[in-house]
Amino acid sequence: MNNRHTSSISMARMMQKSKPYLFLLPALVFIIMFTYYPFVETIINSFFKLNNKAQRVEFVGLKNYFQVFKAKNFNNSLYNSIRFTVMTVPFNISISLILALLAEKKHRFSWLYEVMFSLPMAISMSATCMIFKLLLNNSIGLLNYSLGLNIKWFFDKKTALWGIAIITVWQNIGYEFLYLSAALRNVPQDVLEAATVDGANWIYRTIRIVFPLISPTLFYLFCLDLIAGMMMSGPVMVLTNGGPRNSTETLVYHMYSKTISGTNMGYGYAISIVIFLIVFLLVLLSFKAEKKGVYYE
Amino acid sequence: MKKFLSLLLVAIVLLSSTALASETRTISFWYSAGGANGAVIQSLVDEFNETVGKAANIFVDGQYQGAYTASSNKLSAAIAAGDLSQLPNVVQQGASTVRRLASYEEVIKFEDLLKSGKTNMTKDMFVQNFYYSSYMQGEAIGMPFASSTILLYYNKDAFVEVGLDPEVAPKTLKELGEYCAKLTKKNDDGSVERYGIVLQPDSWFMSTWLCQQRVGDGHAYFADNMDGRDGYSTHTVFKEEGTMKHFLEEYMAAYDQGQWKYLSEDDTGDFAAGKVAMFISSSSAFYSIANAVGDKFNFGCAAVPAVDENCLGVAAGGSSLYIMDKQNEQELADTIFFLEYLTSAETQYKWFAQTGYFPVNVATYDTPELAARVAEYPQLKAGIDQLLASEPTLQEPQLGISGFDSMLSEAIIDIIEGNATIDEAIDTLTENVDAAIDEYISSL
Repeated sequence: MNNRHTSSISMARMMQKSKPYLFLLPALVFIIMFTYYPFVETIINSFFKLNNKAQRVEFVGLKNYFQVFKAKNFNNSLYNSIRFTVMTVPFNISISLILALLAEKKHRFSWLYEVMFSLPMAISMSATCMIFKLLLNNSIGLLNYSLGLNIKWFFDKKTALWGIAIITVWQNIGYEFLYLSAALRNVPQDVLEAATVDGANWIYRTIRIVFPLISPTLFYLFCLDLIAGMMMSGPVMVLTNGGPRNSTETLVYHMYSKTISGTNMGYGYAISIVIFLIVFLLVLLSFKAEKKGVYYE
Repeated sequence: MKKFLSLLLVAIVLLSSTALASETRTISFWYSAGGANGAVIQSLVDEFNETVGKAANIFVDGQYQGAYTASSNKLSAAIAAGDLSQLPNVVQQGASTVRRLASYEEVIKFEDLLKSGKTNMTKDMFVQNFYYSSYMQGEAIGMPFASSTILLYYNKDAFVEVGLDPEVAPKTLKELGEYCAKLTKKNDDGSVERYGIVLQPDSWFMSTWLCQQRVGDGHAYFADNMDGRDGYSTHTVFKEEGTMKHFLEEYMAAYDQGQWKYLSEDDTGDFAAGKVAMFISSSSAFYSIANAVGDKFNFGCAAVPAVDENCLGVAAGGSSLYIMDKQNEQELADTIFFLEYLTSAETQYKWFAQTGYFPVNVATYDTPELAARVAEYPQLKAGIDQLLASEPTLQEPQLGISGFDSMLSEAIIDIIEGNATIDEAIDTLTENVDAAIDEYISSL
């Protein structure tokens, strides 16, 4: 009796101990199947010459990688991706932060503008692109017409990437606003009140108290934007196909066009590893910066 | 009694449905025409399923798989997966991927099928221009189906307004320049109210304009080995043969006179809104253009203006159907049965009458239905005449490279914007295309 009791206790303990792993298991299976396995396959394939069915034909060592760095458009697409990231990240975060600050105080109609600010995320990327394509049309577009502009937008290599940046920022504001307003409302009121009593004005309170307290959210959004910016390709496929004059050919689009339309599979695998390393490096760098600038309670 | 009757009814229904399910064989058909034209394809499939298909116990499962690029990627993925059961029995693919399709052993070459005696379709029943659309090293890879050419669409009311004969369209680039000069309408502030035409040529238009020129006994090509249809192209020939230069000189002389809109945004929209008096588009867009124009004005169709008086013909475009080898004789026989229905003179007429794609079956051209349709829409005649006057080998190139379209259109924009002379633009273009061909060849 006693014996059985202990064994059932040890069983329960085992269960207790393995419980978290059991919970992890379903997610783990999917991550291994759809993320890590393809990742390892990609690394292996990048050293091979492949036929048009993506079957390995011949080991070629680093040849695919040499091809990537030799390719005329690789530098250009890296430059475009970095340019795009620099264009979008500051605007994404600052605009949604301003909106979140404006909407911080709860009012009777808070729900109305909260919904309105977060609405862009409810529209699919391609639908957004098609709408903006019309808005930014240079002869019959609303934007040029109403502002009296004569910008060629997607037909000028100087403005095409800006057009895509505008769309992306508009689309991102929604969820970033949600994150930031949640973070703002979690700032402890007593701290702010104490600061007010001590004579701190709104600007001082915001910069010295609120920003440090929401910095984990800001950092999270920064990393997300950084990765999304470097990996951007969807709007390019919908709107410009990399043109005019390759001014919107980003890294991932470059990979897509080489691999899918150009059927150069080995090159595609190699460049996807290169893209991964570049983005990974950038994320590592930002984690380095996190140690200095982000405050955790 | 009531209970017995209802039980009997249930039994009959159950029995008949299981009997049906066991007898009806399904074949899958991936198509790439979306919108109105896609609905027409599905209606042809439905009609097959309800009539001859039903009688033969064949059900065709028509699936829209996105436009040509998307569908081509799906097909490549399905073939790469190596699972025959996932492959469609027949699939519609655009003209730009013929080379890739020819390299798949899963594709049954149409030429081989015709020779196999398994079908009563013959090579001669097809309009040869379309038969050659999927030609690769002496064999047709696919069966011509959604075949079209480019056409000049023009606003007849605008022609009348500026004193031009609405029944006579410009025949050469030179005339196009003259027409555009007359048709351009400016506001008081100097901004353009209406352009003569909108034109941003890419490989689609250029396979007509470059290749319709005469070189020796035949017509011109972009590159050697018949633009990649007779073995791989290894280098471009348009510079050494002078065809690119001749085209660009004629084109620029016309542009200097006509000052047309040289960046294309929404051509059909511009045309319907009266912002341009002419534009060039596919014959398959005929009904959507007619819809967009509505009764705002009368419009006509004409042959695409030729580079000069000695040039003739238009490149065939559109797509073909490719038969996949699923290692199943019954499914293959059913597929052939379905394709015979699709290419019959009657079905081809229905296809033509609702979409503006040309009938691929020569017999359709002699039917009274077609004559009646052309009488109702006289614009259709221009397209048919233009097509039948063209050499069958006038086709889109198969160079295997990506970015050819933008290289061509950017070369022309460079000249128009004054960033390059004609010779400089040709040098850059030749260099870029040759480099892309080299890269492609080295990746093989």
